[in-house]
Amino acid sequence: MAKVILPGTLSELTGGAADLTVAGETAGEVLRQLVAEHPRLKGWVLDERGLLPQHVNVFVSERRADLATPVGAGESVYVLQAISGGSGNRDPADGRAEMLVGTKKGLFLLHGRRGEALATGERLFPGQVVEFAMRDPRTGVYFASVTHGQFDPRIFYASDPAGEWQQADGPAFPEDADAAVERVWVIESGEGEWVLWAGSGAGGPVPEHRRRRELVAQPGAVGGAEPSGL
Amino acid sequence: MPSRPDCEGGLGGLALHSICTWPGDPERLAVGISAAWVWISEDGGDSWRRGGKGLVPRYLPEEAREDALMLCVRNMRRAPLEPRTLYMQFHGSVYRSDDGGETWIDISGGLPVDFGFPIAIDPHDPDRAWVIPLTADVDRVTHEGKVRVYATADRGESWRALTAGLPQSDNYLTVLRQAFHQDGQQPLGLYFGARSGKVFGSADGGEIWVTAARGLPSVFSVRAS
Repeated sequence: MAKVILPGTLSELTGGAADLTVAGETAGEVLRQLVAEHPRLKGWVLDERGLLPQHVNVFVSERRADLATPVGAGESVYVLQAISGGSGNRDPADGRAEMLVGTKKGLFLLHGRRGEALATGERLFPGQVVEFAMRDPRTGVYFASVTHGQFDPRIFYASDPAGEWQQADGPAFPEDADAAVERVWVIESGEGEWVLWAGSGAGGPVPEHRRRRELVAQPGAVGGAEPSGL
Repeated sequence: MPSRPDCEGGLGGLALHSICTWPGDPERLAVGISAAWVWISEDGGDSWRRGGKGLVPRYLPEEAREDALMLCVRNMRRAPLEPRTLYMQFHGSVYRSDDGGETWIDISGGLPVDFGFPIAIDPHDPDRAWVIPLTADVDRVTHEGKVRVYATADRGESWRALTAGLPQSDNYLTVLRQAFHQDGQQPLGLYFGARSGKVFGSADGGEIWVTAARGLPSVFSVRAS
């Protein structure tokens, strides 16, 4: 028996179960049995030919695997969405490119075709420093790190970049740390469901004027994490 | 074990700029911090241990290197298909780790200079990576005024300059660590932006480049979406 670990988006098709025990001696046998036991996964884990879909990768323990890879008793089989620099939601065959460009004076969305000049689409947060922006490959949600000298650095998020952006709560150091987040340098999607990681700079005590933070909106399942123990 | 009070930031301060998750395992992380080493967690960030054996801080006097408190990591990326493999732009030299960040090997031989910020890794091939060398810490511009992306296909054993479509004279550009990215497609698309406001793009792993955008404000980050 093998332990199959599914990403959150696929566990919705198994009634919420992300860790499943499934019989099989190869990755292919395990996944076929998995689909037999959870028919809603058909087409997501294996396509109609019984092969891995283009944007699915499988690992057995820490090794990338194919359907013929042997699976030992008790080994873990990880099913992952496409590993890509992009959202994983884009069909690579369409030849299109979308870039998020953080600049000193705002966030620019560039659109066009791969290998060609791109057109400037939306310009967001005009006049503000956008340190970093990304699109979560799991959900398609856009995130931006915005720095303004008079306020705490802020993370904003939006499902549609041309629509309304919501301000996230944080990230921030614990109150008793008496340290200010200087800039959020990077945002990365985590491996755990709904987990995002944000890396920041650390400044001295929080300036008085920045203690009066205004919260524009309460976020949903968005959070940042400061590694503890550092 | 040194901790935060012992660390002094570099020009950018103490910046946690590189977060390397482990595909399929939410508990495992490696992070890189300017002036404060590599840190590795195997419990989702509840506890950390320091990595970085083999990194040589040549910016310090030789007698101070062994006990250096400041190991200045400039950028670090993990190869998704082989998570134990990471590439790093250090403050002086490019390194590779084959053990998840515990120990590091200098792979900068063949590069024109050993300073820089940007790194990209092929998500489909852990042996392939790209860097954009900058002249020095005190002169953070494309070396000799030539915009060159260097590629390795053998984990840093050798490097090849990619210049087709990139300006090769009078272009002293600064490209920051988050301003170089790949789009995950095949063939691989690469994009980088400079503080001059230009963005360059390639749809074939860097063999041919075009100017994707010009006239933007100073570019801090580039991400394919």
